[in-house]
Amino acid sequence: MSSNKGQLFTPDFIMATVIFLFILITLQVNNYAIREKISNEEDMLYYDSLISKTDILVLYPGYPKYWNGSNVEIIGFAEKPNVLNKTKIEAFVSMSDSNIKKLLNIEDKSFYFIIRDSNDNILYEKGSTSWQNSEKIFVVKRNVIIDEKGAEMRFIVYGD
Amino acid sequence: MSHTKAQVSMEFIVLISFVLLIFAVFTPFLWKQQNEILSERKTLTAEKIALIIKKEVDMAVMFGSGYERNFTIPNDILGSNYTISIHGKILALNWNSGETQGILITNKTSGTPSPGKNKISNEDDVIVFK
Repeated sequence: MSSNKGQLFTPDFIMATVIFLFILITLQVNNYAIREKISNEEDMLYYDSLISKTDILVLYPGYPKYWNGSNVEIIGFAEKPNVLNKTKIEAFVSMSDSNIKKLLNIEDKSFYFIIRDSNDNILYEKGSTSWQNSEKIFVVKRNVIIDEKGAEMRFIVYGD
Repeated sequence: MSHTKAQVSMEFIVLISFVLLIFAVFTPFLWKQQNEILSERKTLTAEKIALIIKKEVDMAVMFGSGYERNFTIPNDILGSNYTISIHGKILALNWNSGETQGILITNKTSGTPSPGKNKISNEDDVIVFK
């Protein structure tokens, strides 16, 4: 009698259940991996767009060509590629954070901009450094020339 | 013997019910999950296309008047047809189940890029798509 009762709950049934659960778990793990990959690609895409933005800062004079804080449409500091104009950097630093974020299309994030000379002295800085609790942070570093001297420009964008 | 058969049938019904219940619970969940993933992948692909266009515009702006270049963007977004529109600085890509937007560096544009081959030029600081 007991052997008849066990006809369905045999090792075959247990094996089928294990395979079914295995397929379910594999699907979930696979989905999780795809989501991770999409998230990483989104980050890479954002970083790529940030590099593009800093390209414009260091390779393009901006628009209008002799812009100031009140008439700027496109921010760019370049006199020549990677040679930056101090007047334009000063105008940038005196602009409001919200205006900079709007012009650089980073309104959903915070930023920190810094230029240091070769002795590590801060020449210019703008934005805030409160990225400690941010989920994501992107840093782009560019070597530039200001007053015929080498300097390093860092543009940091962070947020959730 | 017939008594034993009935027991097996009951077990069978319970088992089938259990399997159907599992399918009923998991199928919509898995279906929804797959659709979400497909939607995310389409959005990501659209964002990549938007970035290609943004970079082409950046390049055309930086090079200045007289610049001209051919570029190609995908004909579809993972099998879905899509359209591109530009309003001011806003670049929008629309497909059957979604939209993504990007902000261009300039609002001085003429024409819109389309899926496939495109030509971009800078004519007196106006970015022209043909």
